[in-house]
Amino acid sequence: MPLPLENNEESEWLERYSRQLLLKEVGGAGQHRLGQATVAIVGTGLMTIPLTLYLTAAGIGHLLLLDQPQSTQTHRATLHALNPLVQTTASPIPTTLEQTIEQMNGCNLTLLAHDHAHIRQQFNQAALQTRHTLISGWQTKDLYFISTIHANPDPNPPCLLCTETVCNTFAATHPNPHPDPNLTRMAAGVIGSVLAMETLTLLLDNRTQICYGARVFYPEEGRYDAMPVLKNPHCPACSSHSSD
Amino acid sequence: MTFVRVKLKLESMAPGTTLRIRLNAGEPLENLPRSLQEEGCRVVSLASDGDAFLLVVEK
Repeated sequence: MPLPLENNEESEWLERYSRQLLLKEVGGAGQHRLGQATVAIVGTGLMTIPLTLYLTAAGIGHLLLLDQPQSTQTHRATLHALNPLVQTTASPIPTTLEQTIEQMNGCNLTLLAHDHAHIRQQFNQAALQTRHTLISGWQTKDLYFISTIHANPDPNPPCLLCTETVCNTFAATHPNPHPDPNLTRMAAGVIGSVLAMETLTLLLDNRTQICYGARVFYPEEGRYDAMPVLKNPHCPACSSHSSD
Repeated sequence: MTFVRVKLKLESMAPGTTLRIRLNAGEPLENLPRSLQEEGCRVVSLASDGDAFLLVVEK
């Protein structure tokens, strides 16, 4: 007599996630945590393609894509085909700080993959007010950077503007007058993959290295370096948000 | 898939408690006891149970 099977839904869940369920860093509890998480992704550039693919395959419960809804339509269909258990919705990027705070409070994590300085600082301000974890990837000149703020035990960590200032100053000292466009596209994919890994690690309650500063990725050399970042006591964004 | 189901069940159990697993012959019978031992479980017993087998392991 064959052994009884679970219902179809449970069987599909087990079958789909069987390989990561066996990982000690995930397991059943971790997989349920991923399935209950809501992650917002700001921007729909090259970086977000591998990012959303990995998060969808991993089984994040709800992905909220913040950009023009029409620009995400085809991609959302791809994500649904990849994993129909993941809910994917789209919404325009909030235009005010209040809306941004409201959006952040409705999510477990926000990923910032948008290059527009005004939008980046709007999310930085919202993260400062909500103490919400903000993971960010961006390109400056021919270098790529990744940072995570408010995910470490430091009660008064450097904000995204502190981090960007250090990283962008560093990039200015490493000019590459002829960046290879193919490498630039590849680097965006690499950074998107690392952002996905950072997101999953944080959602699974594991400590990551990036949350203690930033990482710089050199596309020409295919390697990372740590970027130590200290809080700027005169930062126009976070000096007034000190918890002291 | 039997191993995945058993691992999920073991996650919720306290160390020292036992789990009875009824399994079919073939691949589960060949692989499951060894895989669970590699995970740190102790095989308490393995015996035929009608047309299947009964494996008892301690976490």
